[in-house]
Amino acid sequence: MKKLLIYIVCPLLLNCYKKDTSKYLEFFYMGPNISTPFGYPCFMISEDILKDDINYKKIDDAEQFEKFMSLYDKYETTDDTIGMDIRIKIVVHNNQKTDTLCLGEYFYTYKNGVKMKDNKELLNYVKEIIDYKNTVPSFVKKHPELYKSKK
Amino acid sequence: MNKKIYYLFIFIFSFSVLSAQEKLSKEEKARREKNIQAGNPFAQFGYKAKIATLSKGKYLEFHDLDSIVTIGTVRWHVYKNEIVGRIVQDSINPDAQPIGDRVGRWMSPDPLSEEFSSWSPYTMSFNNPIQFVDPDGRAPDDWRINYVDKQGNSQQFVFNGGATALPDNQFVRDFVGAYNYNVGNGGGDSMKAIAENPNITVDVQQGEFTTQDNSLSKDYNVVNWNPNLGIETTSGNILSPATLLEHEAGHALAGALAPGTKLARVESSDKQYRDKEEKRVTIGIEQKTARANGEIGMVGTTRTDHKGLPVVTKSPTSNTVDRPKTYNTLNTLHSKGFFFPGFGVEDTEKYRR
Repeated sequence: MKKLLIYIVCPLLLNCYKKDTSKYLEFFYMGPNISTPFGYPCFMISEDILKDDINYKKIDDAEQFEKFMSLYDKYETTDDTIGMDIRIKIVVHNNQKTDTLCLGEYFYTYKNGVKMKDNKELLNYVKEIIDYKNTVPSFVKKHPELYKSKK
Repeated sequence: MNKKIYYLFIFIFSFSVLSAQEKLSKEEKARREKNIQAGNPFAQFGYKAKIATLSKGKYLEFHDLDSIVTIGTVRWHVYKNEIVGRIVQDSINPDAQPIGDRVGRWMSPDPLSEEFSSWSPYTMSFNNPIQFVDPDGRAPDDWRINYVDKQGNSQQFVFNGGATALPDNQFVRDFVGAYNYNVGNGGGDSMKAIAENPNITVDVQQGEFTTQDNSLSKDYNVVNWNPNLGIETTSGNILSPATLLEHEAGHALAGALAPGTKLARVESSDKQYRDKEEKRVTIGIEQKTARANGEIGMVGTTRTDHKGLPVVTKSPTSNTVDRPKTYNTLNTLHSKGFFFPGFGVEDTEKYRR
């Protein structure tokens, strides 16, 4: 009876131990070269609001995560508070801590709602990870027959 | 005995066949030969070629032998190589007959026929010249309005700015209504330029928000338009959905004509308007169309930044805010902690009944 109890309780207890696998990045983003009639705040980059126009990618590769974090930690605040037009929202899951980083296509960086100095290196790395320049609009995905002749 | 009957039978058969053949007079033979040789292209060199005919010269089968032929509205003398007259086409009388060889005639298969494999290479505008326009003989273009019909099927309606029968679809009607409203009021320059340029195709579809999207390699050029959504600017002006459509048409036109130049402007930051492209469109065609539509005064500006508060309007061409719908939409966003830059709760509260 004791043995049976050990067989049941041990796996349960082992499952309660949280492994260090909660380091990952979630990218929500619009495609390149999109114009909008007004600057988009960070909350707009959501499937709830922009539906199919939002693309999603999850990165849990340790090497990519570490490289991202090494650049991410270099952000500095800025006194300039003018301007917001976001295209890429990144949810940074770093163990117990979760940050939100919002980036414009070329300018504007907001970390947890606070404006930061732009970091071209990180912006380019993010674009590389998500293959930003090759992101196809939802309309083109829905209607490949309209574009096949031009490809 | 049997052999004799056999030869007799052959003789009677041959005689009946030969006697059944038409006996032609000398004159008739000459006439028929003349009819046949009328199709001889080597006659002027004295060479008598074998000419294929259906009636063996009984009828004249070559009808393009006139010395004067009609080419379009021109009467042309083929031997003198000169114009000998012109025809004035009656364009007022609806019963007037087409002139000579001006009736449709294909000189070659459609060079783009491979792109339209389900269609004959000898058709034009998908056999529907009322719905589609093909001014340069290449592919249907201009504004391609994408919509879903009542059966739930995706459809396209090509609009080139002219008066035409519209499909029974509200989005198509809203788009054409916005076009006519902008252009009719003296604005809508970009929408008109796209419609009138046969080398540009811009897709438009209904979207959650109004946006514009084009590739640098000109693979696609898409405008998403919400015909119910205008914006309030930080200057206090309300811009109709029709004016916002013109705003995005301005980007679409730039993306179609010179995508590289447009990108260079997008990459150049501007403290007020985000980038040089937004500045160009906002203080240019947006302002012109808003003024033409009576949304700003004769000397006013729509805005001095790139900010805006989305508002639901009474119609696609109206800048009157539907207050209950706008309030409910914005209030729902506020309850989640969402705000648009430059606008606070007080801007929403003013739309409360």
